[in-house]
Amino acid sequence: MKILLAEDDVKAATLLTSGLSAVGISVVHVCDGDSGLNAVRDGDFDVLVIDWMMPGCDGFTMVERLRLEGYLVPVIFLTARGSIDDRVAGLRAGGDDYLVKPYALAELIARLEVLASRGATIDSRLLVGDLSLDCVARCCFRGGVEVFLNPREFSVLEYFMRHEGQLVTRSMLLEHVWDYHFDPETNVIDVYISRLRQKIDRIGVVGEDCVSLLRTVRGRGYILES
Amino acid sequence: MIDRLPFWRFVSVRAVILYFVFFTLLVSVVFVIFYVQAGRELRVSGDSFVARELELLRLTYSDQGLAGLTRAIEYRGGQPRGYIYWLARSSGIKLAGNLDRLPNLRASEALDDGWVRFVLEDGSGLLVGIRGRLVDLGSDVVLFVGRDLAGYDRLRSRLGWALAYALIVVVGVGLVSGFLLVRFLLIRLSVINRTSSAIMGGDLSRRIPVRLRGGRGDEFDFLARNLNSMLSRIDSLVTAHREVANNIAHDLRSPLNRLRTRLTLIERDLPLSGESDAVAAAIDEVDHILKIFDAVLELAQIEAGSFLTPPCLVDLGALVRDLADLFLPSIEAADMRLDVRLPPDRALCFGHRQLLVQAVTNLIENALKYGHRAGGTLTLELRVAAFGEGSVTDAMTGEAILMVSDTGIGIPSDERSRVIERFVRLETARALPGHGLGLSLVSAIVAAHGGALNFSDNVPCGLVATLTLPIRAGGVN
Repeated sequence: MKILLAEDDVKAATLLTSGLSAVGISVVHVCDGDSGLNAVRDGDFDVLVIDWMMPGCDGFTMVERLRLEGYLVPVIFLTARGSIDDRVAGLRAGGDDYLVKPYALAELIARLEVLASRGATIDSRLLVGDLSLDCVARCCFRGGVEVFLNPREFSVLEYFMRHEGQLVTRSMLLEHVWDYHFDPETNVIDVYISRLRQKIDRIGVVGEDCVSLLRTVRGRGYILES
Repeated sequence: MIDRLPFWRFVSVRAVILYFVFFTLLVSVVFVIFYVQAGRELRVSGDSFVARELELLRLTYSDQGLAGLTRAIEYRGGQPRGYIYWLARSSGIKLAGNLDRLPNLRASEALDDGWVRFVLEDGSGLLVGIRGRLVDLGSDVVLFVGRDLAGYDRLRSRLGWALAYALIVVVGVGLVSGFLLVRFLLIRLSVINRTSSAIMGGDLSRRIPVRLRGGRGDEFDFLARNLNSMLSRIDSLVTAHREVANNIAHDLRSPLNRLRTRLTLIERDLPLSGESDAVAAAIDEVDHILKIFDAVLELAQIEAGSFLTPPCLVDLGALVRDLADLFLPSIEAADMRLDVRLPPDRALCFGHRQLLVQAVTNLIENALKYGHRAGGTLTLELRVAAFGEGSVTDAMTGEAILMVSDTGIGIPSDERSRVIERFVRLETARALPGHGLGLSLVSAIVAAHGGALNFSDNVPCGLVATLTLPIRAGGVN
């Protein structure tokens, strides 16, 4: 994966580049919006990671211009302003995702991977192992037995299945499934996911356990894979 | 606030009433003095006519004797001039005149120097007041000349009525002008008061309108101008203070961010050992500090009301339903029951969905953390109270009452006002994680939406947190 990092804080950018390189993501770093624009026009990037506040042409203006020029490459905004309103403003300004500084490196990597593979699965029927999801009829089957999910549980599972094998963090779920842009104080997402896991793993009248498909990655998030 | 004062509490009303009473009394006194004095003047001028007539007749008597006088009296008595004549012997035998006999005068009717006053019944049975003078002409002859007082009485009563009408006009004009004066003063004052209320409501940018009349204005404009410059000063101080606080929080975030990134890289490179645990603990500490900074900045932004995203209509029922769904597993995992009560009508609040979600989430998480009791119940209730009966097509306005209740230990009533202050954590909550800004945030969010946050006791135990939000109920599609 090749990303463009537009970030005026050179020290932070260097640290970030070394962290991303370690997991095999190549980074092109620019310090301001104008060189960022030129870099995008010249090179071919999978994802753009753009700091909101940069000298000269800021992140918002840069993305606005790129969209006008027809570049549809996904954008993650980095912002030092963490208020709920600032977060939502980033999405409204044409970003596909945002991260509030400081963010865990794993969080950025998880989001980069989700964005880089975006558009890969647009099917209305999703299949992971013996778990299948019909997004039109909105029903879910595990090994041929129907699993009854409420609408929100269905959306959560759909999100997992569209990003099969990718790390999905708690805040990604909150932001993309619930459209909640803040961090809860309690482990509400963990409990919600464990309830969902029970539903898709323990099926049938006798309640026999299947192989767990939804795996917890300690301290990071979850991965759905067979 | 000023609109709720009883009217007699206004200084302007009291001043105008006092001035009005004083002025009315003064005018009444002047009128009474004028009435009495005018009456006296009328009587004196009437008396001078009688005196002149007497003098004339006395001269006739001395020139022409009793016969001439009798003739003159007979002649004059026949004229319709309102004079009464009575010429008689001292014994009371009438010699001439248009009065048959002088009534027996009581002491009270006898005035000084032969002046008398009595009431006489005229031919048609009407009582007529007579005032005149009885003089002794000598030689056993007495003469009485008097005047009919009917004209005098009529004049006096006409004067009295005229003065009464004048008094009524004075009182009426006084009342109307007093009312207008009070109204003028109260209108000018209420403009200042309304602006002050808006400013106290957090809108520091509001200013009192100054009316410029030929570039000068009146004392209210001077007051308004002084208050405005005071407000500008306060505004700039508050803004400067807020900016300093925000800049500190903001500028400290960058080095903390770098610190955190460095720690993360160190943690990654360290083998699993005691040292990596220490680094992880340090990262947690940095995260906690950053969380406090974020909460402070969030609060500052909400209180300043400077949002980048525009408000929209938020369906509060859907908001509560979504959160109930999200928190149901957590609530059941805590061995509690969730009770959700929603109204049949839609409750649409014009505001920021993300902030409202944050506020309700904070209350639910507080109920989970501090109101926890095994076997207890967490209740989410939304009620809609519409004001007035609009037609179906009209968007009715009203209030949404959103209650989050638990059956935990509750908050003592004397501590309730304290819990929304920044960084306040009650003794009972110190053992649990948190930074004491959660309820400050809820309070600020609700205030930004024109609502209120209140706490009350649940029955039989626990706490009810009530959010009151202005809404548009029903009607809107």
